[in-house]
Amino acid sequence: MRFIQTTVIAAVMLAAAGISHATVTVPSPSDPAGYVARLLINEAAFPGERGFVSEADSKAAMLQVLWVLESRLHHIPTGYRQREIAMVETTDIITVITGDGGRKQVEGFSRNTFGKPVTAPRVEERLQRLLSLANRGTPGRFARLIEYGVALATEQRRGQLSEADRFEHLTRIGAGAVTGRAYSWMTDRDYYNPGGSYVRIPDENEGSLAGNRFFTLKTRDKKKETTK
Amino acid sequence: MKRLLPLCALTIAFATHTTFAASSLDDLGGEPFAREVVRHLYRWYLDEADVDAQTDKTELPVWVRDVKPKLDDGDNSRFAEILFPSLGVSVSLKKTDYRIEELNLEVKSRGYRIINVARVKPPASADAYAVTRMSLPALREHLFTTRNQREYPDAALATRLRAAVKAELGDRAIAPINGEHICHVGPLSSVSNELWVYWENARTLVRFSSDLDLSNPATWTQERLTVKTYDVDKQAVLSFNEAPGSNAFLTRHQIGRVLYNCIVLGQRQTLAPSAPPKP
Repeated sequence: MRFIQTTVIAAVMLAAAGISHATVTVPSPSDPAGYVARLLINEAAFPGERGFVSEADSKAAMLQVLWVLESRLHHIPTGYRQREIAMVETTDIITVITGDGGRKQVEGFSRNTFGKPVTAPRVEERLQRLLSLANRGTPGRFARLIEYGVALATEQRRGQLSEADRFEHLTRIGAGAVTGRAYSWMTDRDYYNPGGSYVRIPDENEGSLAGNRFFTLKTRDKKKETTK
Repeated sequence: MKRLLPLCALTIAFATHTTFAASSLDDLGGEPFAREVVRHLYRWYLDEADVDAQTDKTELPVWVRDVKPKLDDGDNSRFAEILFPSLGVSVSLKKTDYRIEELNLEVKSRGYRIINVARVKPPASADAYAVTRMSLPALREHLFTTRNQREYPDAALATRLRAAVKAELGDRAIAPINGEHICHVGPLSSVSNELWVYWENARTLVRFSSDLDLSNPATWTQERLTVKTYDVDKQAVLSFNEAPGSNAFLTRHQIGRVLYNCIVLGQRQTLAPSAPPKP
């Protein structure tokens, strides 16, 4: 009996050791889930970086960035056209990220001359640095944040996000009516208006996450405008 | 009951010590700190219209409040907001105090640092804030006399900075000018962990930012985590309306501000070109 107990304890310890030293990886950027994961990881502040508040805050930022992309793809509000919000007309999330022509939508993410989605060298270098920290010793915040970004990107590719959009039901900001959902985010440039019909989501509506400010849209007259 | 009173007093004293309430400007560093914050705004954010709007006023109201986001276990960082209602400018501040296990690093700033500046509509009431007033004539005098004051990286920081710039941009095939690369390093701020560099050859702005004090050598052990670059040719627009919702651009106004700080107020430095790769 004691032998069995010892064996079970040893097995549990070995399993735990195996788990604690599991290697955190991110799919290749040529895999759409890998490309989306790179964006989510790139846009959230990690410990030591300006904008970092907490692990939960950085995870929330990743989720909301993904919801912005989803909203630009699938939730164009009444009175707006997709091109007006996303600068592209597409059903492909990668094109929402890269934009087209000279109007990139996200700094560091674009298509090369052959049309292949690519990232700026510093995006990949930062990711490799984060991965090396994530795989150092017992998995901690770096590992959990990267794994979360990959899990979100994988969920998106499967067509179903399990966590809700916290901005979905916003109807008013100050005295103005808004569409709900976020359609843009900007990093560390909260002082400036992102242009167009964007409305800053204030702190009381959790509009600031991990160094990013999220923006929703003003509502438009439903009678005069058409959707996508 | 008698035994309870000292315990209550002790509890209250402890609570006062541990709640980290930044209930007044004094908790952040007093008026000298506020003056430095305004000087940072003056240099990086404010325009003539902001100054002109204060012409007939004698006081600048300063509203201060503690901000308490939910933090990770063991994170003792403090957050606060300074709101200048007459300017409609809100400054978010953080005094960092946590540990990064993966780096075996204590992340601790010596004081509150600016982490964000926003244009806001001030709340109707100052109830949630501690209110102070700064003398505007004295503040104007301070801003005028210090408008060209420059603090540059010391030798150790300059060395780390040069290495970081080189590492960041080294993979680009940028031709040297007269055999060298020219960088203009913007002045440091005592209230912000942000530093801009304009690399003239590459026509690129480089922004270093961190949760750690830039003067802390540990910051530069992870410089790859804290760098952003902006190509002033490709990433400039007159207005964000040209690419609404995109975060890949800076306005010409923003770029002009950074260039003024880097070239006019900054320090010119040269870097030797990297050795060509071995065949």
